[in-house]
Amino acid sequence: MSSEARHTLSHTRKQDMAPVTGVERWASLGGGLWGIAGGLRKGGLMGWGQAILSGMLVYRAIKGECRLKGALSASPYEKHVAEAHHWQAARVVSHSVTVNKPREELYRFWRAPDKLAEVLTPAMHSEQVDDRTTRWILDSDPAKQLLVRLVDDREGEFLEWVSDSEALPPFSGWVRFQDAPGRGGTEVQCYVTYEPAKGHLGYLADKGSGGTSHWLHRNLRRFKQKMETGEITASRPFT
Amino acid sequence: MRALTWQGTNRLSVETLPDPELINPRDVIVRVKLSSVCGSDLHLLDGYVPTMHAGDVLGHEFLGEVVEAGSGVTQFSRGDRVIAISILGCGDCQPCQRQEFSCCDNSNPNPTFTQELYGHACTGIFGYSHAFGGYAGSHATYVRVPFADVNLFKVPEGISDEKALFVSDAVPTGYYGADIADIEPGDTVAVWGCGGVGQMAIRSAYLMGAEQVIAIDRFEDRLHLARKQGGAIGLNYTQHDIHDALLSLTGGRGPDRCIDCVGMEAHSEHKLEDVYDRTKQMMRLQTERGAALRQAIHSCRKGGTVSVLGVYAGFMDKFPIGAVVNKALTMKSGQQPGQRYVERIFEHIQAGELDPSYLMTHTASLEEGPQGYAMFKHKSDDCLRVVFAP
Ligand SMILES: NC(=O)c1ccc[n+]([C@@H]2O[C@H](COP(=O)([O-])OP(=O)(O)OC[C@H]3O[C@@H](n4cnc5c(N)ncnc54)[C@H](O)[C@@H]3O)[C@@H](O)[C@H]2O)c1
Ligand SMILES: [Zn+2]
Ligand SMILES: [Zn+2]
Repeated sequence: MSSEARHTLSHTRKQDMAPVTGVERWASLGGGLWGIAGGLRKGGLMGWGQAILSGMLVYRAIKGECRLKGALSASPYEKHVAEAHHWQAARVVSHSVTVNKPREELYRFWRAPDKLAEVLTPAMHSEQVDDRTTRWILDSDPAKQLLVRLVDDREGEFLEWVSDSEALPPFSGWVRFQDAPGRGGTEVQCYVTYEPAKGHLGYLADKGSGGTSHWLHRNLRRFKQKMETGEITASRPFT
Repeated sequence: MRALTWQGTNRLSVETLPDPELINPRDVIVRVKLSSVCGSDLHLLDGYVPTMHAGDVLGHEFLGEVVEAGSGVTQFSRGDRVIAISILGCGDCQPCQRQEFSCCDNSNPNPTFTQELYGHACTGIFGYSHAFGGYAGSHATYVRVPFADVNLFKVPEGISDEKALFVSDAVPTGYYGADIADIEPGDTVAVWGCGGVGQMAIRSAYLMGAEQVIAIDRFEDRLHLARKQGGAIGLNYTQHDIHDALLSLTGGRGPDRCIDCVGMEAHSEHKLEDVYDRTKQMMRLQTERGAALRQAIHSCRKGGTVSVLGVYAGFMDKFPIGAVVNKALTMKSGQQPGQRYVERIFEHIQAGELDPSYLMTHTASLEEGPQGYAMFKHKSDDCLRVVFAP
């Protein structure tokens, strides 16, 4: 991750439109016209519905770009990360929470793997390899292990890591602790990058299901709950 | 234990479930003595709130006795007579520390759904779908209360169970609605909906200095209570043109403060509006029926306040934003942060200024739960609230 991404909003820039070219463009035009004709012939609610959807296909072919396809494509920043790592595709997710505790306290908790393990879900435990390297082991499947190495560590401010694993896709990330303006508390931003299995298909599956994004959000929330209330909020057995 | 559970749209059943246990140190287990139905449950019953699962326990307005307290609980011990606030706070996040308990960041263990739907994770609520935490509700023998020191309150001696019960939900909701409406002495306040929440909003508006309160509903029994218990002018919207009536009662100005105590299943007298809203709601093109809120915005005086207590879950069509802007209206809303008001409300009750016990028009056993809800839903037998005694 470039340091530029930390301070600018380059990672939130979106892919608005995606180009529609070549065979795809011709197929979109042909299919669209055929669909309109069929829909109008059929008539009724279904027929009209088909005609309208087909009209959209014609529209994207004529314009040569498509907003829906844009929404499903990788963001400019994700493309940049994929290129830099020579990955087929990259998924980048980021979430921020404000925690009502001082920066140092949050940093220290995050820096201690055995403590961090208390909040992470799915449940995992850690083995310290050396001061900068930790092995993370999934409780439900001990074959799933992850060697996480700190590559940047700034007391009270910033932690960055990369991971090696055979069973899981390459994964890296950083977390930044910053004093919140005015009211006190700390802004915690966490940022995770990984290479989805099966390239763009894996990317789509992850994005569509919420996958990594929901996982990160949930874990940051649990971190906040633990730090602020001393507990991880639960409503079992009804969840 | 026995519990009244949601099984699907308009299907309830009483089941035997395992007793709840302490999960976290700040938890308390309460043996439920009284547990009331609420208009909010109807939105669940009618299938308008997503993420309900078959077997979920309903109920969020209750009074009971502490039977077990976790090691982190400092204020409560076995035998305490308590009520719980239905909307859960944690006490430690910034919203809670600003007394905005219904904006708590931490009380919802399933934050992702509301984060996606509303842009931010919303607070946890007893018995109110998995999006709002998946907490088991209070229509049961026992209920687990998280962050007990924040969400439980001891009932002062001298206040009966019947009076204290509704300090859990209906009273603080009405009180909050009147509070955020910024009522000034001399104001006219109009309240849409004369259910338990509306009744309490009427009384609270007077406590906060309103000169006259106008109550709107179509059920005569409820309007009668609004007049007799609340001291309001009752307007039946099936008999009067509400806008005309409100203007003639206020010299053409319109009510200074309007409070919506109806919510997403408002009924409309306007046949076209009713058909439009029902059809779109049925087709899930909108989730709300907005007749009451639209009318409140339409009638509110220029520069006035519209306070929305009725629950809305998603999206509404034909929202009159033009009237909001061009009449310089202020809109306020929220789930109730009752923790902020409980002490003040108990003082009003002790001083004889407020007696919510008349909301309890019916009592029933838990086993009669499904029939109780049917009666409440159809407002039959002049039912205002059914209270179960598990
Ligand atoms: N904000 C909160 O924290 C909170 C707490 C409790 C309840 N609520 C909400 O408050 C609302 C009322 O709750 P309740 O328990 O009193 O419900 P209720 O069902 O007993 O009462 C609703 C009343 O609204 C009336 N009504 C329907 N359409 C109307 C219209 N167009 N104009 C005027 N009145 C109309 C009904 O006749 C009924 O009497 C519900 O939406 C409920 O979800 C909110
Ligand atoms: Zn309620
Ligand atoms: Zn809180």
